[in-house]
Amino acid sequence: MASESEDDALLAAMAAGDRNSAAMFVSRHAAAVTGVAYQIVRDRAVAEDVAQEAFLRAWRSAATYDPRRGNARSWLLSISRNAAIDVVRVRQAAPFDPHAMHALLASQAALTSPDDRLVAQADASEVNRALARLPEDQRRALLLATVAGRSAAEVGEIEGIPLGTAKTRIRSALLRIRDALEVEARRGL
Amino acid sequence: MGFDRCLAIREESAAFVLGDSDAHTRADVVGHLDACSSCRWEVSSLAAAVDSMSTLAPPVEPSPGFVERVLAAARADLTLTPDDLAPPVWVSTPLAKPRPVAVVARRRRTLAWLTGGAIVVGLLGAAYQSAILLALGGAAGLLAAAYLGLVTWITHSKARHDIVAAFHSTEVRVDSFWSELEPRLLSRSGLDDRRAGPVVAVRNTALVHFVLSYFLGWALTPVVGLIRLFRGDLAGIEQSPRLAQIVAMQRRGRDHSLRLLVAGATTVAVAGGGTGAAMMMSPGLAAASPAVQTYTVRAGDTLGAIAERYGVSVSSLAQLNGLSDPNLILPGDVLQLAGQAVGAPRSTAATPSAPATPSTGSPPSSAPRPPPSPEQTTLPTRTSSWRARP
Repeated sequence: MASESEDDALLAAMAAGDRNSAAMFVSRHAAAVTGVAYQIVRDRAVAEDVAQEAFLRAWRSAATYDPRRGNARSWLLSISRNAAIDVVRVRQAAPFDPHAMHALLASQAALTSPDDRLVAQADASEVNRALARLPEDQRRALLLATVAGRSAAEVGEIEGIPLGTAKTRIRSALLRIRDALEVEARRGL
Repeated sequence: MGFDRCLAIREESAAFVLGDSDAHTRADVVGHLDACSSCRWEVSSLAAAVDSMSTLAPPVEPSPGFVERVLAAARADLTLTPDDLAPPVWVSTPLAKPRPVAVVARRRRTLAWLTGGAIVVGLLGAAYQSAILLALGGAAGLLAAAYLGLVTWITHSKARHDIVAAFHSTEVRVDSFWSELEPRLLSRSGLDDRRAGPVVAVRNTALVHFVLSYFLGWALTPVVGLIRLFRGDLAGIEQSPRLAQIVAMQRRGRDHSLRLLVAGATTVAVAGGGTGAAMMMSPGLAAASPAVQTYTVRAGDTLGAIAERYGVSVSSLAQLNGLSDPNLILPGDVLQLAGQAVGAPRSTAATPSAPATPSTGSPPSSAPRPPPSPEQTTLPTRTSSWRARP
C-alpha cells in the first residue's frame, strides 16, 4: 500500500527530528492509536493521554524502527497497546462491562467511518475472516486478551473459567490466528 | 535435549507476547530466545498476530488540538530535540548565500581548498623568502584556476548535450541559438547560486569588513580542514574556544556572497551614493553609455520598473523584444525601448510596482532606484534572474 511507504518515510524524518513529518504522522494515526488505547482503558481522557504517550515513545524509538520488520502502523499500534496496558495494570481497571464486549464483537464488522473502513480494510478484513473461523469461546478469550488488554486471570474471571482454561483458549486462538494470517499473506491477499 | 526446552518455552510464548507472564518466566523466555532462532521466529510471528488484532479496535477521534499537544510535549522532551552540532555562525544577513545543492557545495569546497592553500602557501613563501613555497603556492593557484575551468567546461558541455537531447536531433545547429541561450546557461554553471537574495546598498565600512571576512574565509579553509582531520569531526568544537572561533570565522567568511556584494555596490555606484569604495569594487564594469533607445538589464531590474523609468508600457516592451514571459529578463539582456511615446507609463499587475515618480530619495527598501541616467553598467552575466523587492 502506498501509505505504508509514506509512513516509513515519515518515521525516518521524525527520527531526524523533523516536526512537520511528526505532525503529519500524528494526525494520520491519532484516531487509530486513541481507539486502541480506549478499548483497553475505557476512558476517553485517559485514552488520549495514553495516545500522546504512545506517540512520544514511537518518536523516541523512530530511529530504531526497522521497516523490514513490518508495518509502521501496526508497530505504532502495538506501542499504544503496551502503553495502555501499563496504565491499566497499575491502576486496577473497573469491572468489565458486558455491553462493551458486544460492542467489541460488533466492531469487527462495522467500523465507524467509511474512510477508516477503506484504510483498515486490508488488515481488519483479513483478521475478521480469520477470527470468524475460530470457535466462539476462543474468539472471545482472544479478543479480551488482545484488544481489551486483559490478563489471563482477568479473562478467566470475566468468562467464569479457571485460569488454565483461559490460558489455553488464548494460546490456541492466537496460534490459529497466526496460522490463518500467514496463509492469507502467502496467498498475497 | 534442547527440544524439550523449546517446547516449554513455546508453552509460555502466548502469555509472553501478551505481556502476561511474570518476571521470572519472562527472563527465562528472553534468555532462551537469545540462543534459539526457531523459537525467536515463533515468538515474533505470535507478536505480529497480536499486533494485527489491534487493527480491530474502532478508531476514536481525540479531542481537538491533539496534534499540537503531542508536539508541545515533544518540545519538552529533551531526547526529541535534534542536537545542533554546528556552532552558531553570524553572517551579515543581507549578504548571506543560500544553501547550494550538494554537488555545487562539493565543487565550492574543492575550489576553496585549492585557493586557500595557494594563498597560505604563497604568503608563507613570501614571508620566508622561500622559492619552493612560492612555487608551491603558484602551483596550487594554477590548479585552482584549472579546476575552475574544468568545472565550467563540464557544465557547459552538459548544457549543450541537454539542448541537443531536448531537440531530439544529433545534427542540431547548436551555434545558432547558443548565443541566445548562453546567458541563461551561464547562470546554470555548477559554481553559481541557484537563487540570489535581495540587492542591498553597501556602505564603505561594511565593504572593508566584507573583504576581510571574505578572504579570511578562503585562507582559513585549509586550516579548518586540518582541524577536522586531527579531531575527526567538528562535533565538540565548542570545547576549545579558540578552535571554535577559527571555525566560526571560516564559516562566516565563506558564507559571504561576493556576487551580491558586487550587485549591491554597483547599484549604489549608479545611484550616486557611497561611490568611492563601490567604484573600486566594480572596475571595468562600467560600459559606454548606449543610445537612449536601448537599455541593458541589470540585476535587480523588473520589467515594470524599466517601463516606468522610461515612460513606456510593459506590454510594448514585451512586444518589441519578443518576451513571452515578463518575468524572464536576465542581466545583460538588451531591451529595445524605441517605438513608443514617452510619458505614457502603464504598470501591469504582474510585476511589483515601485513608486511612480523617480526620485533621488530611495524607498525604505533594499534597492535604491537610480534616476534615469545615461551611465549604465553591465554586471557580469553570471547572476540568475531575480527582482528587486519594492
